[in-house]
Amino acid sequence: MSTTPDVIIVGSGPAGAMAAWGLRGLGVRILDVGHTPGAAPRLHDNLYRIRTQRDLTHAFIGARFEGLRNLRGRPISAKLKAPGMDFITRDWQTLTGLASESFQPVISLAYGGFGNAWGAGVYRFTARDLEGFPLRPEELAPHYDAVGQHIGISGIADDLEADFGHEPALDPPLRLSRNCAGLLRSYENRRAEMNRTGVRLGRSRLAVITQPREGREPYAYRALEFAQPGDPAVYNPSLTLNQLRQQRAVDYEPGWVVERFRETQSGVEVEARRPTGGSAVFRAQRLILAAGALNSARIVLASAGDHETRLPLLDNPMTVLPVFHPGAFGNPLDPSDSCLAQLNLVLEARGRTYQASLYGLNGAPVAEFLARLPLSLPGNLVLLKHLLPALSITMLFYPADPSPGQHLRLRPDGVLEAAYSWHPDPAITSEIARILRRLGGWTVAQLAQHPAPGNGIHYAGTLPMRSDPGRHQLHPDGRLHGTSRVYVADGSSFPRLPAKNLTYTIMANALRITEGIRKGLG
Amino acid sequence: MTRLVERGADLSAAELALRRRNPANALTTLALLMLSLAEARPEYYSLFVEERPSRLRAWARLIAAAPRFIYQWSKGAIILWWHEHHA
Repeated sequence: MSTTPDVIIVGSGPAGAMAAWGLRGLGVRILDVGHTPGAAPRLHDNLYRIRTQRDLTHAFIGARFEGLRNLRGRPISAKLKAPGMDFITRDWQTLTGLASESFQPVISLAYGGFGNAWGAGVYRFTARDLEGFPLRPEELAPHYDAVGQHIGISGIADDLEADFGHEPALDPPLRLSRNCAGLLRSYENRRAEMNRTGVRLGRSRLAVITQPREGREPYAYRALEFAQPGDPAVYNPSLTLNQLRQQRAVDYEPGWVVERFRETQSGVEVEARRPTGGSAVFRAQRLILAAGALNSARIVLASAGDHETRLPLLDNPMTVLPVFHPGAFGNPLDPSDSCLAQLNLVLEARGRTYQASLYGLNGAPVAEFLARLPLSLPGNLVLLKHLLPALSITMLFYPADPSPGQHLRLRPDGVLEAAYSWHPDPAITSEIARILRRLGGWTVAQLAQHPAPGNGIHYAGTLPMRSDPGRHQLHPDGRLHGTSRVYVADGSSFPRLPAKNLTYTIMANALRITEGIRKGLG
Repeated sequence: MTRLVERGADLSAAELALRRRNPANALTTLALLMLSLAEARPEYYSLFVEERPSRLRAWARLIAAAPRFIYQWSKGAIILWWHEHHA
């Protein structure tokens, strides 16, 4: 690796890892903060089997009581609070401040970013999803194919093929829980009627392998998703980066907070500081920002010294709806059920497309939910024990379009200021609840919870790509308008968000962008 | 809280009544903290995880939940009222 690489990539999440993979063979340096998991002992067996034998205080609570943080202060996703997961969001508030009353984001400064704890849902953007993008589906298709081949995807071609796109190669889907199998059977029995009313149900597409692949073991149903990251069956950008680092195809430099860039006659200079003190300037021919939609926007605004402009801001707002399966009430818990998404439900209503993912709760800490039922805590504990094997969680995602109430600005003190105006649509929640009841689940819209915007962790749209871009916007090839060597490869570039996980499209788009950079570098 | 403990009050009923007023009260937080610690330990595993089929018992408990809630919440409310007016 030369001391001045061809390309600097900022960020090691899905976009950064895929950009590095697309540029292998060139000189690539990755800069990020790069928190990694602590040295706690890893669990290798099924969580429930371990729990009958060993004290898991280190895995559930942690030496710094990380696992108890939801008892006070702003709650964080149960998947991010376990001690083993703490590194994913560590220090983000101190290193990348963000102020907002209406937007509740979390940012990852970890090696692999949120790829350490994502739901692993992989859905292609369809022609309809790409309306407003200066891109045609056929421009992304070969890159989806390449990413899919690289990461490994399980699923099945079913009624959601038109919504999620065609995958040339799929591992068999994960085993369905009895609860979700019941919903799917019920749907299959009334498919025609459901489809007529704009409802489609099918198996989730996941970046989870169910067959051995290039040294990775298939998914083993250990219910550890809430306790520790790094199951090699679930794709994590660090898998790609580790591979590239072993091949000496990238120079990875953790411990840097990138602040701004400056174009020079011969390339780009990147200013970065150490969280512990000290700073440095890195130089390269090209710069790819892949730090996530919020941090890439911060770097662009700071580089322009712009504290006035309000950039657009997108996130998929969410509604969480529990579904009770009465036939399973009082059943023993099946320790081998997966807590990844099992089914997806697509609803076409009022000219928009909504998507809901159904999850089991295996592996989630029970104490987390104890105060949410109406009885005394001992009563809730008994009830919840019976209830958990009979409970699914529906996460309903709404599409997101730019609106004047959703914006981001960089204050002169370096803190991002965000606003996000959104109100849940009670008619859509009621409709989803009605569909689930028709499929045999018990739920009512009154049980729905609407986490504040920002909790979806699908941040996007801050530096949108346009055919004819303006200031702080991107050309279709990912290049930042007004620059000749600076590219943005993360979700910042999406002008709008359909109601589905955007990570697969971020990865495919990052790969597409590297094609142009490669050509430019000759 | 100390006085409630000293007087041997029904803490689970008091906690329920307090939680209805303020979900983030200290008694609820303390109880959840203890339950979180217990969940991590093998000796309490069967308190948190259903290991055997128990459908009849589960339905019976669910049916009893409504009157049980009314009883416990009323009891808790009385405990808190008495505590606030006689402390």
